[in-house]
Amino acid sequence: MSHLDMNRVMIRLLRLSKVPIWYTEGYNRHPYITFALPLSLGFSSEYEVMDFRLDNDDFDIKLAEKMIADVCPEGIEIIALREPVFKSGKIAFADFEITFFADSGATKESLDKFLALPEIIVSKKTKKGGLKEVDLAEKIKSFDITEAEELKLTLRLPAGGEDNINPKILIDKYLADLDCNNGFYTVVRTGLFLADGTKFE
Amino acid sequence: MDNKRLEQLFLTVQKPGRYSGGEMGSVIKDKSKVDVRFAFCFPDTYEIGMSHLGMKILYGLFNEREDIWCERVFAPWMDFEEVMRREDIPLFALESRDPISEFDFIGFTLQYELSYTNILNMLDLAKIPLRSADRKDLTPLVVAGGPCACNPEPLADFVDIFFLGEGEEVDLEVIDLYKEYKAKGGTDKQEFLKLASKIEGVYVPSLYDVEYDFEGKIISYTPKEGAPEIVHKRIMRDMDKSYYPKNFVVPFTEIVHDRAVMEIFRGCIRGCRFCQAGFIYRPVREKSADVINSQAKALCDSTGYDEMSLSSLSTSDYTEIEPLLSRMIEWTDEDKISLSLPSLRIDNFSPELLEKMKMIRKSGLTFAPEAGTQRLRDVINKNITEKDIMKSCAVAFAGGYTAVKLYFMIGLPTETDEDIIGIAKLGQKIVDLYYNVDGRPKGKGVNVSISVSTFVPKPFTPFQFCEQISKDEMRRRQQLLRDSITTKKISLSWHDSDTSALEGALARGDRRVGEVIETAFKMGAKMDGWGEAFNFDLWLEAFSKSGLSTEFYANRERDVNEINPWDHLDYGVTKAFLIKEYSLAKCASTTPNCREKCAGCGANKYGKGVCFEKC
Repeated sequence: MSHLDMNRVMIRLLRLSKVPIWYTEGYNRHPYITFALPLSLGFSSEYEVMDFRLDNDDFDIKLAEKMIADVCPEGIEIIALREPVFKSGKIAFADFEITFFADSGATKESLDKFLALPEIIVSKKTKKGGLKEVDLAEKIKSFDITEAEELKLTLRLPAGGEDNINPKILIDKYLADLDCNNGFYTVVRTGLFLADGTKFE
Repeated sequence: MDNKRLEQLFLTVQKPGRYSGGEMGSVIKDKSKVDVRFAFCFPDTYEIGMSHLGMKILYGLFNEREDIWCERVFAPWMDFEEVMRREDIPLFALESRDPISEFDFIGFTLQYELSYTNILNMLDLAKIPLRSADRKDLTPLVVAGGPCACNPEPLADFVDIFFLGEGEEVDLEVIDLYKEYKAKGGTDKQEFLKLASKIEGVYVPSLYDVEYDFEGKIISYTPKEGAPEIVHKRIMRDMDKSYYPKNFVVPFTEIVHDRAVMEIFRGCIRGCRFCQAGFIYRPVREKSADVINSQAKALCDSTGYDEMSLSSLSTSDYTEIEPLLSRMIEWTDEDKISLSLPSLRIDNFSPELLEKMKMIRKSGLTFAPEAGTQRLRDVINKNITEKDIMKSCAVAFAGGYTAVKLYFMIGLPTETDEDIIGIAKLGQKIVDLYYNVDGRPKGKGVNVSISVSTFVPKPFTPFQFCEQISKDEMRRRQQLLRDSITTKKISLSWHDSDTSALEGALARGDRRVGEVIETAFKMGAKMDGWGEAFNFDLWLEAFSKSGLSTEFYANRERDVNEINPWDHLDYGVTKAFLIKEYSLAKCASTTPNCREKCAGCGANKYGKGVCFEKC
C-alpha cells in the first residue's frame, strides 16, 4: 500500500468510526490527517504516528480510541490515541527489521563483512532530481544481526526531513555486491526516535 | 506459491495493489464449507473492473449465500503477466489466491468487445484450454454475461454458457442446477449443458448448428438436443425487491470510479437509435425514492465513502429526481458526502436541478448532443434541439460555470460534411452565448471542450443494419472537423479510429470470428482497449488468415432480411420494430420517448416498467 493509499484508508476508517473529526473549511471539505513520516511502498510497520483533529475538544479521547479501533480491519491496529507530544520535524532516526528469504543469497558472514566495510558508497537521488554519492557506512547509527530460523538484520538509520536513508538502498547494495539482485527480503519499521534516542510520540 | 514470496513479486511490478487483495469488504470464506466456488472475472485491469457496478451486485448477491463463495479476478497488466509466466504462477482469485482452474465456475463479464483477447489470455494464464470443446470435464464451467453477450457469437467457441440479460436470477438458477446435478453424482458436461439450456436466459452455443452461404452470410441456426429455438433474455421485474449490495469492496489503491454508486433505474425511455443500452435494457424500471434513499444511506455508512453517484442511463429522467435529491441532501450534507449526478439530459436540465447540484458539488458539466445538426439529431432520434442546448448552457453559465464539455459522434448514418461542420458551428455558438449571458462569472473566459468518438453500429439497435464508415473516411471527417474549428476557446479530443474499426467488426461478428480472436491472441494481441497495446495490423492479418475481413462485418449495409448472428436471441425489442425505426431514421423522422407514447418495441411483454406506468 502506498502512502496515498494509506491516507485514503485512514480517512475512511475515521469516517466509519463516526468520531467527530475536523474538516477543512474550504469549498471541498475533507478531513485533514498527516503521517509524521510516510512509509515506503511495500514496507510494513509496527509503529506509525498520525495526526488528526477532533471537531469537539471535549470529546472523550478514550472513547474515540475505542470507536476507531472497532472499525479497523486486520492489519491495522490502534496503539493509542493521545495529544501530540513532539512535532514531526523532531524525528531523527528510525529502526528497521529486515528479514531475508532463505534463498535470497544473504548470509550472516557476508552481511557481517559488508556492514564492517569502512565505506559503502551508493548513488542516491536528491530532492532536486539529481544524483549524489552517499557513504552509507557513516550513516548507520547501529545494527544487529541474528540468525535463528531466518537471517534478520535490525538497523537504526537517519530519518526525517534533515537526512533520510531508506534501508532498501543499503540492502540492495549488499545484495548487488553478492550478485543476488533478485534476492527477496521484507522490511518492517519498528520505531521512530528523536536525536537523543527518545521514542517519538 | 507461498504468500510472502508472492507479495515480494507484487512489489516488483507497478501498482501492486491490483493483485494483493485483502481490501475492506472483500469476502473470505472457508473453502471446505462451500459447495460452489465462482471466479468472477473482469477481463480488464483492476482499476476498470473494480469500478463496475454489475460485479459489485453479483459479488454481494452470490456471497450472501452460504453455499457459494464468489471471488474476484482481473486481467493482470503486462508487467505482472510476465512475472506470472516466468515464475509459473497460474491465474488466481484475489480473495483466496487459489488458482481459478480449481473453481466450479469461471464467469466473465462482457462489457467491451476489445477485451475479448483478455478473456483468452486469462484462460491461458489459468492453464485452462481455450475452447469449450477441449474442456472435457464438467468443471470449470466457463460462463459469460453482460451487454456484449447480446451478440455472443464471436466467443461461442470458448464459452460454455452465456447468460442473456440481467443475471441476478438466472445465474443462481444455473448454480443451483449445478449443485443438484453434482449431488446426484452427475459428471457429464454435455448432459449438464443440455439441462442448463432449458433455463430461460441460458444460451449454450454448442447446441446450435450454423450454416453459411457462399458469401459467408448466415442461412440458418439449428438448435440441437432440445435447446430452444429462441433464447429469451431475463430481467428483474421489480427493482424495489431486487438485491442491492449493502457493502462494497473498497479498494486501497485508486480506481477509476472510487465512490459509492447507487443505481436508480434500469433502461432508458429515450430510444436514441445508436445506443445499444437504450434497447437491450428495456423496459425502463425505476426504484422508488424510498428504497434508493435507504439503500444509499446504508451503503455510505458501511463503506466510509465520502462521495456517491446516482447511476442510470439518463439520471434526469428519473420521475422523482428532485424530491429524491432533497431527501438525500438532508443526510449527505450532514455526513459531508458529495453527490454526483452523471448522465443528465440537456432538455430537462432545470434551474431547480442546477440549484440542487450547486448545493452538492461543482464539477464539470457534460452534455451529449451527439450530432452537429438538427437533421442528424433527428436521424439518431436524440430528440433535443439547438434551443435546448443553448438554454441549458445559458442556465449553466448564469449559474457560474465557465466550462462545458460536449460529446459528439462522427460517422453516423446519413452524415454529410455539413453535419461535421455543424459540430464546429455549434461549439462556436456556445462560445458566443457565454459572452452574452448576464450573470456569467466576471473576467473569466469560457472553455468548450468537444469530445468526438466514432460511431460503431451495434446489434439490437435500429442501426444494426448500417454500414460503418471506413478508416480512411473516419480520418477525412476528423480532419474536416479540425479544420472547421477556428477558436482556441474550443478544445477538441478524439477517440482512436482504429479501435472503433475493430470494435465494429467484433460487435457484429459471427461464430467464425472466434478463430480470428484466437489467432490474434496467439499472435500476441491483448489489452486491445489500451492504446499502448493495440495493434490493428496484427488484427487485419488475423482476419485474413481465417479468410475473413473486417469489411464483411462492419463496412457493408445489411439487408433487413439477412439473418444476423444474434437473430435467434430475444432482448425484448422485435426485429420488425428495429426495421421500422431504421426506415424512420433514414427520413429523419423522430419517435417519441416511452413516457410520451409507446412506440411498440415489444418490451411491454414483460408486464412491468414504464410501459405500465399510466395504468
